Amino acid sequence: MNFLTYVRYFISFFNYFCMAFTILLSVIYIVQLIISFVKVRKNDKTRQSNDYGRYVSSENLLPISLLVPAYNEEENIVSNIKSLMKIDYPQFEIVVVNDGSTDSTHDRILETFGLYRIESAVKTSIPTKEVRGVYYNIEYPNLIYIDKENGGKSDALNAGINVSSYPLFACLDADSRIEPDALLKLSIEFLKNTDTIVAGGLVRIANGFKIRDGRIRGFSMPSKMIERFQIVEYYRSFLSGRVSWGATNSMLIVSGAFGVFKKQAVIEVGGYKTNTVGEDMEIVVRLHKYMRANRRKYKIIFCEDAVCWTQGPMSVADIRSQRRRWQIGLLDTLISHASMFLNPRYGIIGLLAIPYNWIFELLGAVVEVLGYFIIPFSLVLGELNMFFFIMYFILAVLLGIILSIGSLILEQYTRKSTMSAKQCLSLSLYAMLENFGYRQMITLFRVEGLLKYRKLRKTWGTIKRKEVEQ
Amino acid sequence: MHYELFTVLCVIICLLILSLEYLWLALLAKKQEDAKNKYEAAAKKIESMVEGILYSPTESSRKSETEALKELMGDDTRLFEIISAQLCFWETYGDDETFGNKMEIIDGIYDALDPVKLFSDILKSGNKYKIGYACRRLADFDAYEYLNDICRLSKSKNRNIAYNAAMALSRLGYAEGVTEYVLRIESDKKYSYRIINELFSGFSSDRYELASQILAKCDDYMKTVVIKAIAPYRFTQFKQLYTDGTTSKNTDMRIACVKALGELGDPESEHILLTASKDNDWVVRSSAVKGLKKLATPAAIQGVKDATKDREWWVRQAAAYSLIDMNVQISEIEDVLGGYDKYASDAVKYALYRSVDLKEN
Repeated sequence: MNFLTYVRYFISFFNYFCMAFTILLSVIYIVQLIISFVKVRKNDKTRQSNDYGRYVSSENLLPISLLVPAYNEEENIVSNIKSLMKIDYPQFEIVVVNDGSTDSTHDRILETFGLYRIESAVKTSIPTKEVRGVYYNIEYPNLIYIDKENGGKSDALNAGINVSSYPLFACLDADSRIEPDALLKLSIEFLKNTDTIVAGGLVRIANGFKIRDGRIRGFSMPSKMIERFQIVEYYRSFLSGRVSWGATNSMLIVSGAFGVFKKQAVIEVGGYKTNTVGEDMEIVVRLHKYMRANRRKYKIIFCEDAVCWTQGPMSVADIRSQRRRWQIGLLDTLISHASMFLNPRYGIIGLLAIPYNWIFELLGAVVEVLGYFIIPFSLVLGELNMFFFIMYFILAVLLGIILSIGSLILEQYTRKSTMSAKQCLSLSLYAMLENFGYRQMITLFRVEGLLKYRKLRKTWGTIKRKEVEQ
Repeated sequence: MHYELFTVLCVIICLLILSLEYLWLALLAKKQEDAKNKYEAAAKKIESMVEGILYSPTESSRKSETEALKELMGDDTRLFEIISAQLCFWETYGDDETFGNKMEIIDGIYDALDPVKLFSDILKSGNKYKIGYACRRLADFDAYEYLNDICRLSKSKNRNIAYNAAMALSRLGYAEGVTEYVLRIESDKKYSYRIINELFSGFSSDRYELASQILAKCDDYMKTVVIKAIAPYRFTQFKQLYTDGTTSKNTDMRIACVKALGELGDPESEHILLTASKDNDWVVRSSAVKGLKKLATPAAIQGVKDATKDREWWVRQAAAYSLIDMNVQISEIEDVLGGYDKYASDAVKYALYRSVDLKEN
C-alpha cells in the first residue's frame, strides 16, 4: 500500500467518524432540549403556587455574603456596589475584594463610602495572598471592603470567603447585575432541600436590554451582529444545556458571574483553585468529586428563574479572548480531574458529564476544525459523495437551528415578553445565520485556546465592556 | 442509494420539525406579548377604577363601579392579585379623611369580588399546580368553611400541595391539623426544620398549645426542631423541658435547649448556661454565650469574657459581639483587649470596630 492509500483510508475513517460524532452530539442535544423543556414547563407551573415573596419576611431565610472580586474595575465598581445595596433580601453583606488593582478602584471605593481601616479578626479558612487591610464604615453596616495583593480572581474569592460571616455566599462579577429577587430565588433552593450545596442562576446577555436597578425596562435589538448571535448562544447554552444537566444533578459549571454556594462545603474542599482561569467550573467539579468520594448526599441546582445580566463582548477580539479563556479553563479542569473520567465511583459525573465534556465540549472543536480541512480534501479525492456531503451539511445546520429555536421557545416560557413577538422572531433569524460564519469562528477560537493552553493558562485577558445599566 | 434516501428523509423530517417549532415560537411569542399587554392595560385600568371606587361621591355609583371591577376581574386570579395589591396600597397610604371610612370601603370591595368563591373554585378544579396557592389564599381570607378540604389536602402525597395546605391550616390556627401534618413529615429531615419554623411563625392561634401538642407526640429529632423553632417565643412553661435537655447526650438536643433557655433570659438559668459555655461542642458553647448576653449579670459577663479565649473562632466572635451588646464599659474588657491572648483581643477589637462609629468616638 502506498501513502495515498493510507491517506484515503484515514479520510474515509474520518468521514465516518465525523458523521457518527455529529449524529451522537445531535441526539444528546435533542435529549437535553427535551429534558429542559419538561423541566422548564414544570417549574413554570410550580411557580404558580410557589409564593416565594412570602419568604422575604421568613426567619428561615439564610443570610448571604455577596463576594465581589474587583481588579481594575474603576468604571463599574461603585455603581455595582450601589446596585447590590438595593437587593431585595433581608440579611446580606457585600464583601468587595480589591485584588491589587492598579487603577483607582481602591480610592474610589474608600472615597465614595467613607470607609476606614479596621483591625480584623479574620478566620483564615483558606490560605490567600496577603490581605493589606479590611475597611468598614458603620454607616454602611453590610459593606466590607478588603484590599489585598494581586492573586487572581480565585484568590480574591477565597479572601472574601475568609472574611464573610454568613453560611451562604454568592460570587458575583463586578460588571454584572443581578435582578432584585434573584438571590431570594436561589437561596430558597437551600431551604427546599438542605442537601443543596450550590445553586446557579441564569446568566443573560444584557446587550440590547435597558436595565435599571437590575430590572428590565425594555429591549431593542443590539446594533452588532456579534451581540445578537451571543443572545441566541446564551439561551441555548443556559436554557437547554444547564437546565438539563441541573435536572440530573450533573451540572459541572456554575457561572462565575452568578452562583450561590454553601460556604462550609467550599471550605471543606479547600476553596477556589488559584492557578486556573476556569475557577468557576473547577470548584463545581471538585465539589462533585469530594461529595461523591465521601458518599455524601448533595445537590447542585440550576435555577433558570434567578437572573443575572452581563454585558457580552462587542468585538471579535474580545470574544476571541473570552472563548479562548473558557476553553483553557475547561481543559485545565478536565486535566486536573482526569481520574474521574469513566470512573464509576463518581456515578453520573464520572460516567456521563465528564466524558461528555472531554469528547464533545473539548475535542468537539478540534474534530470540527479538522473537518473544515479534511472534508473538502476528501471531496477533491473523490472519497465523499457530493450529494451525500450536501445533505449531511444541510442536516447538521438544520439540527443546529432546531436546537436554537427550541431554546428561544424555552426563553418564552421562562421570561415572558421581555421582547416583542416581532423581536423574538427576528432574533430567530440569527439562530440560522450563526451557522454560517459565527459558529466556525467561535470553534476556531476554541481550538486556538487549546493550542495556546500552556502559554495562556494563567492569563485572564481584558474585555472592553459597556455599563450594564443604561 | 438507501443511505441517500435516508438522509433526504432526515432532512425532510428536520424541516418539518423546524416549521412546527417556528409556528410554535410565533404563536407563543404573540400569546405572551398579548398577555403582557392585556395585564399592563388591565393594571392601569384597575388603578383608576379602584381610585374611582374609593373616591366615589355616592353609594350607588360606588356599587356600580365595584360591579364593573368585578366584571373586569372575572375568574382571573392574576387580575385579582393586581386589585389586591392596589387595595393594599390604599389600605396603607389612603387617607381616611378624604374618603370616609376607608377600611369599610375596602372590605366592601373584597366582599363584592368574593375571593373565597374564586379560590374555592380552583380548589374544586383539582389543578395540582394551583391548589396549593388556592389553599394559602383561602386561609388569608379566613375561609374556615373550607377547613376540612384544606385538612384533606394537607395529607396529599404531593409534597407541594401538602405543604401549602399545612401553611393554610397554620394561618387558620388549626392546631390539630398542623400537628398531624408535622407528625407525618417528622422522618423527612431534609426539609422539616424550615417548615416547622414557618408553621409556627404563621400560626394565628395559641402557639404554646400547638407546641405542646407536637412535643407530646413527636420523636426526639422533631423535638429538637420544635424547641429551636419556638425558642424566640419564650414559653416559660417549657423551662423544665429545656433545662433537662441541656444535659442530653444528643448534641442537637443540647444545642436546641441551650438556645431556648438563653432566649428565656431567666437569671435562674445562669449556672446552666455557664456550664453549657464549657460544653465539648462549639455550637452549644456559642449558643450559651448568646444566652449569657441576655442575662448581663456579673457572672454572665465573666463567662462571656472567658469565652473570648475559646479555641473555636466562632465562639470567640460570638463572645466578642455579646460583650459589645451587653454594653460593658471599656474598662471592664481592658484585660481582654490588652491581655496575653491575641485571639481574644483581636476578636473583641473586630467586634468593636464593626459596632462603634469611629467617626463619633
